[in-house]
Amino acid sequence: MTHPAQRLDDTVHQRVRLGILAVLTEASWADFAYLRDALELTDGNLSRHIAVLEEAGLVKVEKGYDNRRPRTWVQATRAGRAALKAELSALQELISRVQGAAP
Amino acid sequence: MLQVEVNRQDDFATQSSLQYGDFAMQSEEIRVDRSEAERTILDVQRLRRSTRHALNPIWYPNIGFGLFFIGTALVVFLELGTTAALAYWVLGGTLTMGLVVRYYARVEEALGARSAVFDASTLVLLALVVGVVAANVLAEGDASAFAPTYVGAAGTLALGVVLRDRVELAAGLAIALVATAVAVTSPSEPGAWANLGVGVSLLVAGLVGRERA
Repeated sequence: MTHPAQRLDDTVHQRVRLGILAVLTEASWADFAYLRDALELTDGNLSRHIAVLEEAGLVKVEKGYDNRRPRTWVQATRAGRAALKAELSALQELISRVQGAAP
Repeated sequence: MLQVEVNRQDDFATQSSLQYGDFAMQSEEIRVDRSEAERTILDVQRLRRSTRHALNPIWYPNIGFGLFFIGTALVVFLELGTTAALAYWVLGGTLTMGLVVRYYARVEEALGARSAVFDASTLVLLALVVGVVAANVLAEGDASAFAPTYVGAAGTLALGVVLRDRVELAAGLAIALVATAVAVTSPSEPGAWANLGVGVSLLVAGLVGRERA
């Protein structure tokens, strides 16, 4: 069995990207503005992190128009949901190990 | 994020290129900032909970169906007849459900986020409706008054668990108490009293939930 630390994924193990995946596991779709407001980020910062997640295949991005208003919709892929679950599980296991090792 | 401090040594373990390879060492000199990891997990849980609550304004259907069930009881108490009761159920039920669906759609539109079509709360709600209808059809005698109410209580409790909503859990317990009271006291119009109890429980839960939202 691998050590939980080795299961932490560099792509997911970042506060903002964890936040994006956390929101998207509860919503089937969220638009850019919702994520930006929920995570209290700037447009540029959010764009950068979404691009990283998209490149890793953890989120899917669709651009379109809603009443002539441009909108960007983001959705967690199955891999993204699994990655968040694995990350939280690894973190939890690490905490348990530290607790178990504590004098 | 998760911080690790290691007293560097020239051994194999610390040569690992893995960011968290240091964990592999079982040295007492490793110190993990556990509170940071715990805070990360709590932050993720908080975000998930706030998103879930934003997309499931359960207080609205609680108020809507609370009023609907109170109306059901009034139709019986006022002795408006079977036809009126049936018409009320069909029209009132459809109208209430329509208002709830429209409200949820408007909330999603305003937020800019959509809940999953078949998320856990929707599945529980579907099971609740099917269960209540089945209990109404299958229960006989006095049980026809309280059996569907128990099913309703179980469904409301399940919704409370899925949404991690204490108000909904309290509403589920209140509805179970209503069912028990009707079963124990056997009043003259058990169905109407059960509906009145359910309606008041849901209405109170809805008003409390709205205040907290």
